[in-house]
Amino acid sequence: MFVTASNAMRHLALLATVAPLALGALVSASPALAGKEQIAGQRPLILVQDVPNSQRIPQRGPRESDRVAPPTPEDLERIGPPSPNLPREFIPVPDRWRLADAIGIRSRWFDPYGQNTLKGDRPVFGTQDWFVVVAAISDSVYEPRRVPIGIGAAGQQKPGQNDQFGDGDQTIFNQNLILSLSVIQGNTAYKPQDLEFRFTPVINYNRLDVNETGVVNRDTREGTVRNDQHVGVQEAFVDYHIRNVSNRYDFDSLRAGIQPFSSDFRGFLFQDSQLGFRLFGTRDNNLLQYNLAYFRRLDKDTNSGLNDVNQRIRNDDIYLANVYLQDLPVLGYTSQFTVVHNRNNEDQRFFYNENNFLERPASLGDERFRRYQVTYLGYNGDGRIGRAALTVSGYYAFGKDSHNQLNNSAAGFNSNISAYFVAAEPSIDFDWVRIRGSFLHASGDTDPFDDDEEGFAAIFENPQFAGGDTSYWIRQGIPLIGGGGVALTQRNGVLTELRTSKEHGQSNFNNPGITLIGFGTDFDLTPELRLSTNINQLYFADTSNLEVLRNQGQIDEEIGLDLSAAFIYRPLFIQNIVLRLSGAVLKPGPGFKDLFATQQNGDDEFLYSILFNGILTF
Amino acid sequence: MAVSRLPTLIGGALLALAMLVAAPAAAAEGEHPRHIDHVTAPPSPRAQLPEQAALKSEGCLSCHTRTDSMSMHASPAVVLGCVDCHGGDPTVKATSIEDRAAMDRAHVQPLYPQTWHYPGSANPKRSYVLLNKEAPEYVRFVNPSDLRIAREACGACHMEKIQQVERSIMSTGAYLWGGASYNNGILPFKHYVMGEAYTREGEAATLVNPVPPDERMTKRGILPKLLPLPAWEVLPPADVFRVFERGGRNIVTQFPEIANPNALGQLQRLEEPGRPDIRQSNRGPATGLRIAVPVINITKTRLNDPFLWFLGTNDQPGDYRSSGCGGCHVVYANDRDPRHSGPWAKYGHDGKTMTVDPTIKRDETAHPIEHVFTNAIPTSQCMVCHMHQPNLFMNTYMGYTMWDYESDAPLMWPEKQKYPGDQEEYDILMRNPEEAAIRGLWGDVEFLKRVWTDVNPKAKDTQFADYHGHGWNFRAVFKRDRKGNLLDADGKVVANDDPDKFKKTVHMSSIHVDVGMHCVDCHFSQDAHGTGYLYGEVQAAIEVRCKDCHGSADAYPTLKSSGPAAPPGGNDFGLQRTQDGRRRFEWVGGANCGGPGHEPGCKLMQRSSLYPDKEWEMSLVKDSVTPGNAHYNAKAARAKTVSADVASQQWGPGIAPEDRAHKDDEMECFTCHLSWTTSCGGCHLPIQANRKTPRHHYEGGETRNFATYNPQVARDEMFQLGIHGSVKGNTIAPVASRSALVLSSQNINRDRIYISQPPVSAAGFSSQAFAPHYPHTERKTETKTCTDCHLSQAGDNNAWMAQLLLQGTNFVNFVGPFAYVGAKGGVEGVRVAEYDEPQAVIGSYLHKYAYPDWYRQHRERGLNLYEAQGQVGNETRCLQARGEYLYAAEGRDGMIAYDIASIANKSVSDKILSGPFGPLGHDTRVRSKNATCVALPTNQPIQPLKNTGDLMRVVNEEQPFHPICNYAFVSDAEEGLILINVNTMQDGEPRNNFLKRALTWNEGGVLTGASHITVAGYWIYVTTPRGVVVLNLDDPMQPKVAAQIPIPDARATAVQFRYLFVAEKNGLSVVDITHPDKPRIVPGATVPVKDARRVYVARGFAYVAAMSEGVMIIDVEKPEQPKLYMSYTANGQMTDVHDAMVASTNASTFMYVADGANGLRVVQLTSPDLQPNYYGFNPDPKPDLIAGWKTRWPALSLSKGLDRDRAVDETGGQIAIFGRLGSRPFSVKEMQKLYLDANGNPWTVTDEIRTQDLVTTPQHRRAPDQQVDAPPARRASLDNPAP
Repeated sequence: MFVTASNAMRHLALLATVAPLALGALVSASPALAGKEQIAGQRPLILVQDVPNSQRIPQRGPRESDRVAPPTPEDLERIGPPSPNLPREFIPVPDRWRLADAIGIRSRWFDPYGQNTLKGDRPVFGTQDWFVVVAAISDSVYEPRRVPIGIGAAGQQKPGQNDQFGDGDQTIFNQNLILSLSVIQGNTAYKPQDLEFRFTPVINYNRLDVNETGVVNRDTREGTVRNDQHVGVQEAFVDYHIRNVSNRYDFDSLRAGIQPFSSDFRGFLFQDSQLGFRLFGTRDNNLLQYNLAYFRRLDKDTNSGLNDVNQRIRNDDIYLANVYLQDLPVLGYTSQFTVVHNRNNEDQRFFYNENNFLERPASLGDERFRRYQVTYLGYNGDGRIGRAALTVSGYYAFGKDSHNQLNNSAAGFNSNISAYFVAAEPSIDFDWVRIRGSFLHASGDTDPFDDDEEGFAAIFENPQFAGGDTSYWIRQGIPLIGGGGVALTQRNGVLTELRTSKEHGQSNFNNPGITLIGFGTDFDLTPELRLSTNINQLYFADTSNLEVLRNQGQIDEEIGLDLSAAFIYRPLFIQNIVLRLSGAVLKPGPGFKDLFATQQNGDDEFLYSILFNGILTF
Repeated sequence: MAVSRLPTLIGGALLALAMLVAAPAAAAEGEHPRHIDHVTAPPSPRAQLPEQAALKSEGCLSCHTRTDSMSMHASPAVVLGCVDCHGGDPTVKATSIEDRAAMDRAHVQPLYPQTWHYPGSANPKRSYVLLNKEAPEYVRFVNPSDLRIAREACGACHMEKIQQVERSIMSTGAYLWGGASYNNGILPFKHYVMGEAYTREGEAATLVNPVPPDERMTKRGILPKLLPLPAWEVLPPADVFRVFERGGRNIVTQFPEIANPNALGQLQRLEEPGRPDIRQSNRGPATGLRIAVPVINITKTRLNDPFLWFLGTNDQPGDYRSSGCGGCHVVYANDRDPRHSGPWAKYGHDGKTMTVDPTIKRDETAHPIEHVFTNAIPTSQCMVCHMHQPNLFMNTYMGYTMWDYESDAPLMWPEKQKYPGDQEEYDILMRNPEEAAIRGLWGDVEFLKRVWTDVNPKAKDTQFADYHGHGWNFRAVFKRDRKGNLLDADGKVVANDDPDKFKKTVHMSSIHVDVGMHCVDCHFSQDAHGTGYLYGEVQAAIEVRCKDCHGSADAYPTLKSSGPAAPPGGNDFGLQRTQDGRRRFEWVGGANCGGPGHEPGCKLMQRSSLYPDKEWEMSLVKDSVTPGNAHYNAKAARAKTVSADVASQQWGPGIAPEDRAHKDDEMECFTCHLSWTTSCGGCHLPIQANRKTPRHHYEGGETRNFATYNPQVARDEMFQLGIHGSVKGNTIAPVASRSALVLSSQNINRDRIYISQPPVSAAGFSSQAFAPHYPHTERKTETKTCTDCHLSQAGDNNAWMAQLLLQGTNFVNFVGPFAYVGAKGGVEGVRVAEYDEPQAVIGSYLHKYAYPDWYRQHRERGLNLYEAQGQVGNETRCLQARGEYLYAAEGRDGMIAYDIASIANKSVSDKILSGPFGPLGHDTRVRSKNATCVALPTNQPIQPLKNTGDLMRVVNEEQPFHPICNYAFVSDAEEGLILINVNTMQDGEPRNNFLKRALTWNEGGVLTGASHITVAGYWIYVTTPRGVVVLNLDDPMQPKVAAQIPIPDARATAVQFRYLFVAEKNGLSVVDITHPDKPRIVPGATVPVKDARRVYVARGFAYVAAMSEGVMIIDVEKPEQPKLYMSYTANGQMTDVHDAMVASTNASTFMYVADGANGLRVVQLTSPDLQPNYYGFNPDPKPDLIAGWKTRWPALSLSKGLDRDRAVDETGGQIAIFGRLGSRPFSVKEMQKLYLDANGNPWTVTDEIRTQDLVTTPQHRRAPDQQVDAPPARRASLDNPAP
């Protein structure tokens, strides 16, 4: 049996051989042990009878059954006990996380998809509860587009052109490199972090190729191209877990610093990364989530749209309280109630953007300084009702504007703001197909000369709606030529706010409002590929403001038809590579044509926007 | 510039603020440790003078003026002072018991005084990892025998035992973690690799076997090392549920944003209403929430926890104990039943002390009874840990099994429905992981304590035990016949309304309990402490076997251990003494008893470990088979000596041992000598994200996620056999359904992201696990008889045999919470059970008591159900749910597998999908001309692709799948048979979900007009207008027509063991398919039915869907003599019945009916008030309509419930995973050995003791070529398991 005995067995055998004295003691302590040392094999079996009489518990004489028979084949398969005198065989494993290595789960620093200590999947610094999360995201946008361009008398690029409107073809290349570092104490996915420090700088390079002047602060030595770069800070916050309030893991946390925040499901009112304090948490088994937040807005870098922490902080405050209630009014539907107060006191100082355009006050009307206080009361809902899904949003804005720029009369001072906004997106799924309807209406100002400002304006919109940045209207900012330095609509915005810019400008409630009626589909063609389409018909809500601004009568309310389609392709069916190609055209309607001469070379020119977006995520 | 820096300044200030408050945040969960520099006491001395010891107790005695034993040892020979064991300062003397200052100086001080409730000395409740965090010095002070410190406190004398216990399964729990991880597919190692162990300081530790195991040791189940449990956060998910697939967009690997939807403002990552991103991480496996969820359960949900490394939970009767050596050797008051607690019973069950020490509070719970070690350990002490599985081992030994929430429900549920608050739920669930407790009366410990005394006298259905570890209730098992009638000791029926029925019947505890034995009367030192090696399987670590003490038919007992863990020569129990000094075993009545000179008067006596005055005579097998002996028992003699010649079935001493049918080395004694076994027919583990719960192991700490543990069906009448593990020699042994899980999960938003899904084991077999086991229910009279394992002469045990061979009986199948209906225009999932626990069928008996308000509302709704999800399709005459897919035969549209993963997700609007992606990315439809039916080899999720390679085949000793397991089988009226490889649906990869035909077959048009298909192993039964075609698909790509059964207009079939039941135009016919290729229509066995459409056979009854006649319930207990039991139309509410099937929920049986005119109907067949015999194997159904749902289209078909008792198919193909290395179901040859002779003809038995067959003189041995059975295949070749 011991022909193939391992080293260990030989070791045991040796031990048993050299320790007969100790064995004797053991046997005396416990006669039952007598048979156990047969592991030695080579030694004769110790019979009960071998134990000295003095060490035996008195008992009856030997019997047949006491005889130790020669080992049977079955016996030979049996294992004797180990030596009791081996060193302690406990190997401390202070880190149970790295036992994953033992079953072949490796953390590879260069693999952003798999388990990775740099991505917070395992603790660091030799602890059980400190994690770092490193992210690097390359977000590239290549965007040929055509927007209406007004040109001044200063001259045009192309000879022979003599028009108010220039060549609107432009190409943008925008490259963001987003670097993010989080240090988290506690646990990553399995409880709210006890403490988190996060810092996310974004390095931007952008290149714009335009055919007209007056669009950006272009260096004419570089031809039609303008290159710019910027480093913005999009996140720099501390997240502190104040307390747990129930065994359902309801809690209160405080997040302070530059942080992303969305006021509602679709970013209609305020969706930005701003400096603020946010107290948030949950109650009642997460049926209720709440925010109490205060933001003081940072100014932005004009061309990249990123935060510019080297600028003077804006005199603009946002106070916000909202509550999300799940399963209200029906199971699977979430309702949100919100109050947002925006106080803007930027009436002290002229502010020019990096392209040296005046942003505050807006060159609108009398171009006077103004400040405003506006409160938004909102309801937002998102979820499903039976077989259908529905997102809704509604805001009523009220407050005071110190000066109505279109109304230089007494009534223009301390105007009342009273505006509203509603949006709804009903949709229904059929397996892999989603059919969406979109409806949006932002009130417009009916009378520029009264003391009411009735056009709805957001704080910083970024609507994910009706195709979002796939659609032409929402993606592109369209300058309002002749209306001063203001834009009819902002990049990544749906409202017709007539403000200078989302990034720098003040909210303007003297605006024509908008109505959008749309229809869209999403096709999950394959796991990797989604196709979305949108058709949106757009109208101004009320063109009286525009008519005043353009000094033009009877501007039609119909803006036009916005057609778009987008492919989202994830070649590996993961988030680390997301490619998006979308194309949109705006077929101008009468109202748009009234505002912009879109005929060139005799043809009815359409406006287009093509977006190629590649996001590579580490 | 100053202004421009403002943000930076603000940011900096915030950081500083955060840093200041950071420290409290980190430890917000509990008490902060104090900073104490402990003095480490020297190890206890092996010997010292009493004077020396006295000095070490001096100060202690100033308060502890008396104690039960100074040294804790009963023997005065052990000389120890208090400080030797406990540490502390013995020089400090107190002026009085109230002298707190002196006490604090004398006692070792805890780091966590509040958690220990210092200076209180009772064990804290649910302390778990407190011992790991505490200083070892204080651990030693509290419990010197704790394994962290026992080497110092006890090692001088007991080092060997300490080492054994450190490596014992009782400490490592390796079998639980190993079994859970293997059976749930998490780790592919059947030689288990994980176990619990800590260092002195409470750090997680790897345990290394004292020597590297060689091949011989490995064969004996010895493991090289045991690693700690890895953090669940780093283990990839094993479950192939859709939420664990790749492709996630929005669920990040950190805690989600709260109240900040779509914070990044990206359209691509918009959370779409009605279609949320359900995938648990947008990164790879083992990131974020995409992990092995069951490992969370192991870490947090109390199953077998705590192991010996921790104190008991000390919070309810049955849970009081210490840790380490004291966990066993220091007795706590846990149970008042003397059968369980022996002489300790009188101390109650509240964990209160009887110590003479004046400092210990008498009225406080969680103190030991005395400050004395004992070897007289009562069963109730063992029971503290050996509680789970709630249905196994010790419960069965004592005659109990898990209560099913139904028996005596009126006494156990509150009259008014309870709506527990979050805190109340938490408080109960931390004590008792069974979610039903939050609604039941027993959630209150005070009620629990009174169950034995107050409920039992009023109970009508059962009787409860007095132990309640984990907060559970256990019901007694009584002697019943197969119909469920209560029987007395003589086998006479005891009336259900007899007030003394529980006294008259037989409580099926082990005969050993009845004579007063406790666990320690059989499992001696080595079984309790271990051998000193590491084991993963309990069976491998046990040294004792029945024959060691009872002998065999041919030999008297040697009293030497011979089990897998026995040392060479065996440990000699004959040398053992009980604690009171008596010899444990002694032969009396002769000088040479047990040996060659054995005299008839010889008796073997065993002395009780617990009672100094108790002894009993051992039953000796040889005596029982020796004619003339006083203990001769003809029944026993026949069973043990019967010849393997099935034709003669002679028996007696004349049959040579080698000619016997039941050989000692081929089968375990307890295969027959058991009275009953339990089968845990499934537990439900719903996990909820929003529960703040602690880890029960390692470093502790609170995180979210907690799963409750909810038994669904625990039956006691299922007797099943299979092949035992290799370490047991692959003997024939009883097999129990073991921890068959279905899993559900709710995320942070309480979406049910998967529901009632069975996992798949690491070997690819279904996780509806089975394991050979020793039920510990030995009895003398109520044992298994001939007709329990062989065909009965009366022809009435066909269903029983199907159960025995693990082919399943379609009786305990699981439906819930959704039942799937095929209808004229599509499919529907109808919710038939509550989501909450217990998942009572809505409108059922249990529903009435567990949810009285909801039950009333249901009645007020006119029995109408209220939640269903549908999908438009085509006429669906067959459908089968498996995993998260619903396979439907849709006529002209062919076969499709619908995605039903999100059926219960409240946030999903479209819940049954033809596919989550378009046909270019996901296409599970296989078009055919007229698909009439679809069948799967098993409805348990399996994954044949996992079962490959040497790891499975050689190391894990798993047999391969039969190739039919790869396919779905479609009958097509025009195209015949279509095979579709469906493995891709179970591989967790969402990008390859394309189903294609693997085979289309209709040779010679034999299958033209095919209407229904039944898969029974590789035998396929297809009905056609001309009859039933029997196909042999042993090679699935080359079907062979094995037979054609001429039953015109056959419409559907069902298989039960040797019989095929055929619904045909004349009614229900029966075909003998003992040899499927030679079917025999049973003449005269057709029960007329006007329009039989389908047939479902559940044990002894066939349920025939009979259109206008409702459901015809036909008694087929004797398949050759079927008779109509009743025709049920629910008073005319079911008159268009197309399909019917049966399933069980808790203790009751239900019938689901597809009624064309009325939709889905739910009928309760048994319940405590409808049919008091509901615990029987085959109780008569008493149908009662309890719920219905009007389907959108006429209902035509039903998806069969998850098979919970089917481990193997009719041709020996294994389906479900078997625990234990080398264990498996019978191969088809092994099955046939039980009922076919050498010529393949069935033979039968009776239980009658036929004296005419008695052979007293030795017979001539049969020539080898005449032997009926070849030497048994101990284990078929691994690569060719089913010859």
